[in-house]
Amino acid sequence: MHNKKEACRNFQRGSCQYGERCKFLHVIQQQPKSNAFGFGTQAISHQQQKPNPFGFGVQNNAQSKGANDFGNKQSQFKNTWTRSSASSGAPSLRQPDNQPQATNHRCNDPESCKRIIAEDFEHERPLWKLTCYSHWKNSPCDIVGDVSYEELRAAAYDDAKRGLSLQSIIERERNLLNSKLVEFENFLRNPYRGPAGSAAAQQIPFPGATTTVLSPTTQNTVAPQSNVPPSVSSFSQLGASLNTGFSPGPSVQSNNASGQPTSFSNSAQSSNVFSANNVPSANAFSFGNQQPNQSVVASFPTNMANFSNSSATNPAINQFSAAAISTQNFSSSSIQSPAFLNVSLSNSEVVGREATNVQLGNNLPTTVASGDSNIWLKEKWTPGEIPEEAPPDAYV
Amino acid sequence: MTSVHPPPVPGRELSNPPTDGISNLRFSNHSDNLLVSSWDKTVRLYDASANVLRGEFMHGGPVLDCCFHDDSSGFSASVDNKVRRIMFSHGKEEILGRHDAPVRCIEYSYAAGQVITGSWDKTLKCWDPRGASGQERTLVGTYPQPERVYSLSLVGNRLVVATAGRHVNVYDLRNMSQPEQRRESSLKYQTRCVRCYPNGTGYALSSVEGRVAMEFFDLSEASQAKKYAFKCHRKSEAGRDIVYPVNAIAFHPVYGTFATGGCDGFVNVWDGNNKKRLYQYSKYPTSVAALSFSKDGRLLAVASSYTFEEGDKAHEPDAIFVRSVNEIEVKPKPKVYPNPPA
Repeated sequence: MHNKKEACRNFQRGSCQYGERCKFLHVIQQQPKSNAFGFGTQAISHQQQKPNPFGFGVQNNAQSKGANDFGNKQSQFKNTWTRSSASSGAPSLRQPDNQPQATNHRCNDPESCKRIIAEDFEHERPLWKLTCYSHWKNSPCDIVGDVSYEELRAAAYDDAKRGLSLQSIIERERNLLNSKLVEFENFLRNPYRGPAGSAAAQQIPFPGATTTVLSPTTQNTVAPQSNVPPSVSSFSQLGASLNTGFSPGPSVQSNNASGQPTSFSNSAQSSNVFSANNVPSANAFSFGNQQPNQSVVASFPTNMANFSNSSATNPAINQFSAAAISTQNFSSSSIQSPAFLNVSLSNSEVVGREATNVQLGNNLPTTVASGDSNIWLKEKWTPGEIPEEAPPDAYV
Repeated sequence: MTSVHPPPVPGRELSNPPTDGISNLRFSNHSDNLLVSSWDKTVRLYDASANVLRGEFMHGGPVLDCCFHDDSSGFSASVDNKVRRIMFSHGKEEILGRHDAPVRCIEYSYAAGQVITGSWDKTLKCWDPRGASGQERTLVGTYPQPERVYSLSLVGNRLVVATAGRHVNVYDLRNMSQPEQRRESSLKYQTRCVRCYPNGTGYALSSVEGRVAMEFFDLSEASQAKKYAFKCHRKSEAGRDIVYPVNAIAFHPVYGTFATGGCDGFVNVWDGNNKKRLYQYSKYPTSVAALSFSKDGRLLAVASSYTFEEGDKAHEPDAIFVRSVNEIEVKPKPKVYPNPPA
């Protein structure tokens, strides 16, 4: 190795293409962090358990750019891998993922992944909101339900041709946007409803954690497996927005887990929010109903009945019941229901994500219309059109 | 066509532009003819150097993409689910086939002699344009995709398909039974556009999050190490970035550098190998919807057309600008290495 003054930044990210020719020092600067094995909680934990001659697990092989770097400090490669998963600041410049076809990212360190998500949402929210999202490049989407602007525009043109008023086009589209935003919010608070780490979610959670229901941020630090209580909180948050947003009337708020279907038929709008929050509930769209509102409402009563029978076999039904229980949960702040909520939620979320991927795709272009966010750009609002949600950041 | 044209003025606006949004535009491989597809349900053929509208072809619905076959015919992909062949000289079009949902992208492969279309019905279809019209005779194959197709690109025998949900499939046109590679996008948000490098070693993929990823087909470690992504088309404001979608990528046919166009109204030219930006053109009136270099790389057509990324709102009129390209804007500048010590 040549001795130069500075450490090679690319090497530390695992992507230095010069190898031994590099004019910077190939060293891992770990001083600010704890020692190599302090990274036990992070992605390399599985690698440390199998020290092989190359110094790192299968995953790092691809990053070493051929044999050049193999000869170097092998133990340092472990740290490289770790460090880049911890440093979430510049995801675009991170080391390339090895096999483009396989995604090896498992959220072994939920903390850093959550940090990644929070940073992404904080700094890099795209202008176009109706997008899918994955917190790790080359991984499958965490938030599904992609809509391109052409699809939105085509749907709007279609609706206009069919004679739908601009008002209703705007209305339906605004709902879509809001539901997407809510989805993103909820994902931020509780990223582990769906993605790879959710195997742990199926365990029954500790009821003790439910007391922290209303403080979502602290929830996240409880444990990786605490994704279940946070999901309660995310619904609580949803309930909060539900209250402030829609004020549907006391009936929703006073229900408890025993279930009263009528509450839902009162608030058509609240069901819309559910469809946002709980992606699986978009299954409602696929039930052949034109109006998303109605379909979700209609299925609630039946699902509630099923739920009370504790039938966990049908995932689709579980999803609705989970969503159904959730509002009630918030309203009544009953402690027993979180247990139900958590279980059904985790089951349903995992299943629902895959299921709805297709259905959302089929139905969105037809049910949703145009005029994304134009509501925010209007000078004057006529009564009835005043948005209930806060404007998206782009318009603040 | 006479062989002597007056040199086009940089950034000249074409007259008779489409009356609604422009979805795509393409230069011909043989001349300066420009084919433009639009939401006003027409496909227009211009002579870009002479600034003359040579033909206008009505469709049953907004047209989302178009491509040339040769200078006498082309193909179009429309929201009315139909794939059409357009005969420029006869001034008419005929239906080549149809999908079950709007057809989003269309390409013609010279290598395979087939038209390839991608649609929101989650399939890719290949058509043989020599067959008589009528779907039964022309359809060569239907290939399901994981999600709705958003963008397609061809180079040589390779086809890259980008779909919703950030999926990317790479096919070998000689064996379409299954993708050669199945990938997820290395960007985190919705894919907007995918374009293959002219040298066939990889593709560039752009997303709504103001980023472009440069990827390679070769799965060896050495090649995969070269891949990277960069941020672009962002505006910094009050400590935060406003992140614009990158709608279009176009490669310069001679130098291999590429231009990107975004909803911020700018067109940037990048050198992918040296990872530098070479040039930024002055801001266009509204979002850049599409870009195309002419076959010899002398001209760049820019569709400045609001793409609805902020919904229905008042916007600048849709326009097509054709500018002549200076070498300095597109030619890569090799790195200057410090002199070795004497």
